[in-house]
Amino acid sequence: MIQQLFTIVFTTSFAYSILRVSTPIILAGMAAVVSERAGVVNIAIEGMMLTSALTGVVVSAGTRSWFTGLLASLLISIFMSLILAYFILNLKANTIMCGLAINTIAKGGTVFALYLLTGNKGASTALKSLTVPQLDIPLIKNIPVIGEILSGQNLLTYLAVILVALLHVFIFHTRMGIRISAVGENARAVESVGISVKKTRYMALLISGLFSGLAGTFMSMGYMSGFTANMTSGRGFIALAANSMGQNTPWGTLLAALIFGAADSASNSLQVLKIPTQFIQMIPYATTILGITLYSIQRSNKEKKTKTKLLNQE
Amino acid sequence: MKKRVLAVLLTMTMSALLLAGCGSKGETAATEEAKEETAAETEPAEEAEEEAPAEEAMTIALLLSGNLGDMSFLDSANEGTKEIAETYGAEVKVIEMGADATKYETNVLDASDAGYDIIIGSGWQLQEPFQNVAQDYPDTRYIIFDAAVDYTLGDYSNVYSITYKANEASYLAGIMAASMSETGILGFLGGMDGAGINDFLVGYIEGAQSVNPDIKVITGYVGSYSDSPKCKEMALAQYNQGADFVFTAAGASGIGTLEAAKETGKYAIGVDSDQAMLYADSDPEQAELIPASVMKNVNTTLVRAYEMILDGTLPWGEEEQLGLMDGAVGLSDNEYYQKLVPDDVKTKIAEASDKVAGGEIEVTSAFGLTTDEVTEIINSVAP
Repeated sequence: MIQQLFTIVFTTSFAYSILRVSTPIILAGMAAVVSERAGVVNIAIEGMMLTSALTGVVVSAGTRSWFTGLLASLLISIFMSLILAYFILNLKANTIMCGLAINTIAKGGTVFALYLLTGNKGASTALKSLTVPQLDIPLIKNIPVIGEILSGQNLLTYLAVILVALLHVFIFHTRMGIRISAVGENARAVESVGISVKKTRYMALLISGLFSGLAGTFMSMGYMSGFTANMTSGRGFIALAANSMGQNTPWGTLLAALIFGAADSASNSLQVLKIPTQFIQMIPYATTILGITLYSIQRSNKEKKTKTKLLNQE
Repeated sequence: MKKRVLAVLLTMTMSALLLAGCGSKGETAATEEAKEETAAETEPAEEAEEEAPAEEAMTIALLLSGNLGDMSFLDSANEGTKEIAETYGAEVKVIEMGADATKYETNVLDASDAGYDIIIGSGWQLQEPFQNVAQDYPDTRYIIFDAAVDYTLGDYSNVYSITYKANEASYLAGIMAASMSETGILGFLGGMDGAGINDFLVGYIEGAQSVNPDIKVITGYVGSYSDSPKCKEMALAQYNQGADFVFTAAGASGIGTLEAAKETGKYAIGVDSDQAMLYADSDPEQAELIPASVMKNVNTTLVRAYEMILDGTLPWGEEEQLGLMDGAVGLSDNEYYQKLVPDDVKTKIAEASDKVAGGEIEVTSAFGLTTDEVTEIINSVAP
């Protein structure tokens, strides 16, 4: 059985699938990073993903262009995040309640819209929707093992990795990014130096919406080539977990998302082994708990160290 | 001031939207539509009644534990009652109860109070409501399909239960897959690990073994009926591990398997409804990879039940298990089946179908097997 395990895990198709499985979590994870940094727990990522997943499919089927579909799904997701921002920031509503409301609307609304458009409440199989293309990267494509893993992924997968780097630069090296972090750390201090907390948070939620939209588009136009009801199945929430595991940093969250992806891929591939299915289905969740535990151990160690340091100084 | 008015207005619109959103997932609109539909249908039915006054028209309420448009057995039930209304002039009202299980019993009570002659309910979700209500309305007659009330709990002489031998149709699917497989490896993906799903699996494995005793079957469970991307990943993993047929009984998740088949150019077997026809117009390339689907013909069994009521032969107070013999289950036979399945395999399937229907072959059912026994069957064919 061990030998069988190795033959499954050490294949290029397995490594290839990790990147694909991780992509929506990476993108949604970035959405979580930005909003969390601004001090907003954005649980509406799930709902925004679902809405943009449907929008992408419908618009690409209508316009016969995947790019327009992508654009439309980003717009709808940004629009939703602005609504969320208006409720939270202008009307001072509870963040979690608003997020829940958006998720509920998205879950029911997408099925309703799907039914109005196709007469089917389960899947968009009747629509000839398009997908975001897969890219073969020249040169890398020809390297034996690595080429098979890294080349031929979906355009959005590459975009996800590039955006992680860009987001890192944005958060740590631009004025706006640093302001967003400052607002999350201590909003009153920021206010006192004359920076608008509201504006900064609007900006953060807008970016969060953009990433949620990309994640949603990948679900229905990359991962799958169509929409099915409630297809995000909690990935928006896994992204929040990835974000807290990744300590609110883009690179950390990317790593956490890849770990989730690897655990998920493993659970998909290991079904062939004679292990009880319940055990296999447990893997991604067990990894989550393990990851969060490791993270908090590490953090409490760090805190202890700083405490002892401070005590010694005295 | 202006701003405040704007804010209030916006809040009101949003909360209205909110209510519409979480309240009923748009079911109400759909139900109304369905009502209109049925209303439209009942009109010609009434005319028919006038023409043939000798036959007493019955009133039927069809309670669905979900919404129409599932491309599966709820739609099929709706077709069945439509046919009853058209052919026999019965008055039918379809009630889509949505996903909220707390509403089911109230709906059964309402329908019982409303004085329908026959109340039809779908699936195991209505088993308990029927059990709780039916005894209080001895003059109303109840039909439940794809589940059975527990007759040991009391006097249910006014309830008739229909269950389907999905294992028999899956047996045929197993024969088809094993005969056409080049690698000798098949795949199966279930929604959840339970008797209802394993009934498909057990029949599938037995059918495949009847053709090729050395056949290997990789078994997996998605763990969800809506996570189609996860299902696609799992199906891709099975195809990568050598399976050239994957049979999926996982509701809407199953769309994932169909897409995985398209990506790898291998075959998938659909479930519950004729899934190749979902793609016939939008994506013929996809449809070409679904040689057959394992179907539960709810419509046929409902019409059959109604005819038996008219004849007075329906066994009230009993559960009937309907299989291939009654046309209650079967493999879909469409242009793709004709085109993709070789003639000798078709003959093999037809022969097996006759034998199963005739009782010559008895297909094992997962109902009544223990979890260990099912695991043993799964492990015996695992590669």
